[in-house]
Amino acid sequence: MAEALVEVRDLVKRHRGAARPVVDGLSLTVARGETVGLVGDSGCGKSTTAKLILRLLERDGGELRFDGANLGAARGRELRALRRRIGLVPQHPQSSLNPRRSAGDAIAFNLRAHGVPRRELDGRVAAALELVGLPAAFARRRPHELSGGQVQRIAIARALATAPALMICDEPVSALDKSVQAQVLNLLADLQRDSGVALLFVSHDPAVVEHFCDRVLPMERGRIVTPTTTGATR
Amino acid sequence: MSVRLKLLLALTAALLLAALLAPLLAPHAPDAGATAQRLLPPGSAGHPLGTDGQGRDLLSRLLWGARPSLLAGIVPVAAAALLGTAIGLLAPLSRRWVETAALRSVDVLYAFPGVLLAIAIAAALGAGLWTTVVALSIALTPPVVRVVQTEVLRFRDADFLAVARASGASWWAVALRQALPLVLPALVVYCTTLVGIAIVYAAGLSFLGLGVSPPTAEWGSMLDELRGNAYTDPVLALLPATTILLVSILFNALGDALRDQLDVKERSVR
Repeated sequence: MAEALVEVRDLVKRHRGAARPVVDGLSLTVARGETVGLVGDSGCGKSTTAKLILRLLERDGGELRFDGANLGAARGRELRALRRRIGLVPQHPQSSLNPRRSAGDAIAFNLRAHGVPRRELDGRVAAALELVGLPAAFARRRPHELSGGQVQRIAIARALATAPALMICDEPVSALDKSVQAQVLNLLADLQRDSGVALLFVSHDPAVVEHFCDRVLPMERGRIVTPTTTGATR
Repeated sequence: MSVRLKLLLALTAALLLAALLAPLLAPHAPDAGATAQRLLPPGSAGHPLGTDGQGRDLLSRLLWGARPSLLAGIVPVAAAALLGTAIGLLAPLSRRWVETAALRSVDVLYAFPGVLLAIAIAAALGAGLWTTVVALSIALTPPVVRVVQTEVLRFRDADFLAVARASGASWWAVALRQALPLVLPALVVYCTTLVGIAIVYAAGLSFLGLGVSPPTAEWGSMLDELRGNAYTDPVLALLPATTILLVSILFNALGDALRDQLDVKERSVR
């Protein structure tokens, strides 16, 4: 197996007042360029795991390492530097983009967080949109002028615009129609292959994940059960 | 932009301009009076709105009085908007203990009725225009915090904010470039309405002798001066009162028109 990019060990998260931890001693690794699916029923803790890895939630126990660095202990500047190497594609098209800002603003915000100079923003935004098959004119559109599939394409463009080493997709297609789902998944698979970005794909639907993941990690009650390798040839 | 909003904006601009150009527009000096011309009724020669108990021209006093009255209405709201937005926006996006500490402190102020709080602060600081401004700035901050905080809570858990935080952007960039644009429309609408309230509060403080002191013309203190003539010359006493009322209604109506224009409340964010 290639060198581990993400290493999660014995991750624990308890929600206040909950009887048992929502994430209960979970361990997983994602290698460079690898696509890993995290599958389980709703409420099994998979989205929480994604948020814990990004430190959007603080864990109650366990270790997080990213590319050799101690992501779990990082603070301030160091944490921001590590986060810049991870892209996030969220679940809901309705809240994926800021309703008062344009699609171009959304992508530009992430680019600016990476220190891209202002004069280069327009070109980089257009390039990112082209990557996901949208014309540059879409940069000026507001979220309410876009379909669900278009919003998720823009969310993918935003995550990839900064060339991350890892992309975390939290149910990116579950709110879309079947036909649009296939389009977005194919796009994601193509982009993954071309860019070589490692992918952690969270989904409740095994069919979606098996479509293009190297490994599928089934999750139950906050931990991984019997990992399997899919038949997907890559 | 609707016709109603354009009309209200034009009226507001005219009002501000009238206050600004008071030295040019006022037919007389605001504090020049003649005992022979006491309590002239509106429509008298040379005094279109009449004169007060000391023979001073009421139109000139209303025009000059617009300056401290509007100042005491607008400046405290601007200060409260800045301070209230800082607390209301930053607290819910901070760590839980920061949020709790900030919002509970505001709750303490919120427990007092606004007018009472303003009176208490003004009384403690002593009379004067700047006392009024400081007192109202403090008294108006808690409701602004509440409005901003409520807006922030509507989208605090939205995906786009998680993405923004996960992007490695600084906390300030997330607060100012993602959260603030969402809060701004409701804030502008609320603060416009608040100006109307602040003008009434400021006039109230002057009326009680806690604001601008005589002989400076100010709508609240003019009302106080003409109070004694309310039974003999009710029309004169009603002039400053009506002015305060109309200006307050103007800012309320402007706030309503802005609300429709900016489409506040109708857009919901997950």
